[in-house]
Amino acid sequence: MVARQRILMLGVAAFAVGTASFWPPAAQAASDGQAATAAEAGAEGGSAAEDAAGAAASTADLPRAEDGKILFRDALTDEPLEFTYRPDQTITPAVEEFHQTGRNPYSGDSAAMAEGEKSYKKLCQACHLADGSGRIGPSLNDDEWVRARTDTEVGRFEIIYGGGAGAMQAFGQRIDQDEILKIMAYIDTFRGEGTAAPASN
Amino acid sequence: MRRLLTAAAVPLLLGGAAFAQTAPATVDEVAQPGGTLPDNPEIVLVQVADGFNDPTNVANAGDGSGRIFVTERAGRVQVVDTDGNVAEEPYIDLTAINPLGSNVLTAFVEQGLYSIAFDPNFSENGYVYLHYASLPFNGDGMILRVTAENPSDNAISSDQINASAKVIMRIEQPYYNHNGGQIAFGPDGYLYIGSGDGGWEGDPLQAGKDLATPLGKILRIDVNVEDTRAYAIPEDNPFREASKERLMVLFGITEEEFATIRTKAEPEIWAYGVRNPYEFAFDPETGDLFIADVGQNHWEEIIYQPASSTGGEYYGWPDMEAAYCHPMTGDPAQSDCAVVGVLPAAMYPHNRAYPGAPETDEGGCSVQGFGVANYAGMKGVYLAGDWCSGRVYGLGWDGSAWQLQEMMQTGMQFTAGGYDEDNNVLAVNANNFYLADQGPDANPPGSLWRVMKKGDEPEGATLAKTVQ
Repeated sequence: MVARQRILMLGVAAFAVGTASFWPPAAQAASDGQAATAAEAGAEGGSAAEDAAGAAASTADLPRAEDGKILFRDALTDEPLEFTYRPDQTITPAVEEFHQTGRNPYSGDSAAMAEGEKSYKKLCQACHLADGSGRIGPSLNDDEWVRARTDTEVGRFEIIYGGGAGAMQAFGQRIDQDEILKIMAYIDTFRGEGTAAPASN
Repeated sequence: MRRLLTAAAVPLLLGGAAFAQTAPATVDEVAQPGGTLPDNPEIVLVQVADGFNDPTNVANAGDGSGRIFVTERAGRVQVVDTDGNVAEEPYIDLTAINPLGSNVLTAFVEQGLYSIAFDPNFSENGYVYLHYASLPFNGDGMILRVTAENPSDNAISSDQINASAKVIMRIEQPYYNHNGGQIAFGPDGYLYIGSGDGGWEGDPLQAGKDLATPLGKILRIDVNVEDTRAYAIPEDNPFREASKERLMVLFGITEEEFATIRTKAEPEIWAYGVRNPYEFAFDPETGDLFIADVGQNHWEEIIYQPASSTGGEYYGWPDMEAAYCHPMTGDPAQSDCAVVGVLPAAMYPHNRAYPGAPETDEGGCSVQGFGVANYAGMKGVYLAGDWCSGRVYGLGWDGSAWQLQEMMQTGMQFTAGGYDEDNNVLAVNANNFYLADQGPDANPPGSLWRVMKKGDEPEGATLAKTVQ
């Protein structure tokens, strides 16, 4: 399962090589591990690369747990992420759908993005700045990610929910998963995304 | 002589100046990430106890009990026994000594109870020293002594705190940040105080280089005085003589002699030009002092002061930010600026090392020192964590140069460290970052950790998660 996942991330890994940013944790882990599998994948032929190119959109290929849900991973250790925080929270249909598809149902949803903006200003802005250009935390307004997997909605969710290095705490301890998805929808606007329905390719 | 090992250090300095462990003389000698410590030691962080609310510091009582004391920002001190059990009742609770409410101001995340220090004779006199932001005094830094009725007790009651409280010092705080924090007894028996520059940013008061304020300083006082006095100035404090009023003599005096007259200097000053020395630690074996001086926009720094120091060093702030001129306006390699004061032994960058620099992932944002390790393959290695990047650095001397080595990267937001009674290095982490601060008792809890040699961790121990 792990090997499969890494092959799927091939395109992302190649993208991340050479990027530099503040937040390193999984950067080394991810790019090292994926660089190794990149070579393996290359040896196997071109089909893996094609898979990788379509990975972000082709959510059916995302690694899954036995219950069919997306297999989320800890950004720091790459171990499976367990959803133990805030056990009393309401699992909304959006959260349920996200665990099934790996696609954020709030992406492009203006009402959800407005709520996400409020939360962003409360929780995220101190480090990532109002426009997402980053200061204490890395920039969020470009397509360069320290951790390769952050190129996907699953990867962004993993870091916000489960935390990364140091001050990038596990915000899953503080807010419900539904609120995280709304923040993600808002963050997309920094990169000029999320203003329309998600691409369907 | 200030410290026990001074005599031993002097011949070393005379005999091998080129290889003496000393503060760097040039920018190139300041260690940066990427160095390698002698023997390339490998360490782990073993969890000792958890469930602390915004832990801010840790200390031991030196009374042979093996207890570890963790300060919590709200104003409580928790006591941990040798098995890692946290007592149900706090050792000290400053939120409960004033009938009008807490005695500790925590409105800003940098405010609260900063540190605790036990008198070197605690097991006989029961003296405990605390440094905290006082609510009744609008956030002024209060250094308070309270007396344990029985030093082996696991709690000092509120009544006893009020009955025994002796204010040692009150440091006026103009702004809500950069309050310093650490207090600790040196090998000389004097109390050292880490005092921040008072806050805002850019040191608007220019406090770091102003000898007339206790802000932006390392202070050193003698608390071993009768109770009618707050403290005494140690005879060898560097500005004790300089600060004295005197008759004026104008002729027959050399310029060098005139330069020793500093009548506005605060005689408590031991060293100056620090920005926010939230943590410092003495090497338990050599008496060398390391200061983790929190930096501003671009660089964090660790200062080294040898045990042979006679004090009075200017560590540069606000003229210098780590080894570079402050304010930074661009790439320091392109700037023509002279070094002022004593350089730090090591420094590491924020995500941008200077205005306009590309993003980097080498450093962090706020250095929080732990302590000096003389075990686990380390000799005189100062360990420090970063509040933002979760990194742990080791700073050591390799015989000819300083080395700053990244030991691990964790998911934790380190706040401070200290020692247990065996001089193992301890660390605490909190979850209370600026805008995400929900209050000192409402943030997700933090933990207490012990640095151990990799492979020596007890079976079943909880280890800090690290980047793999």
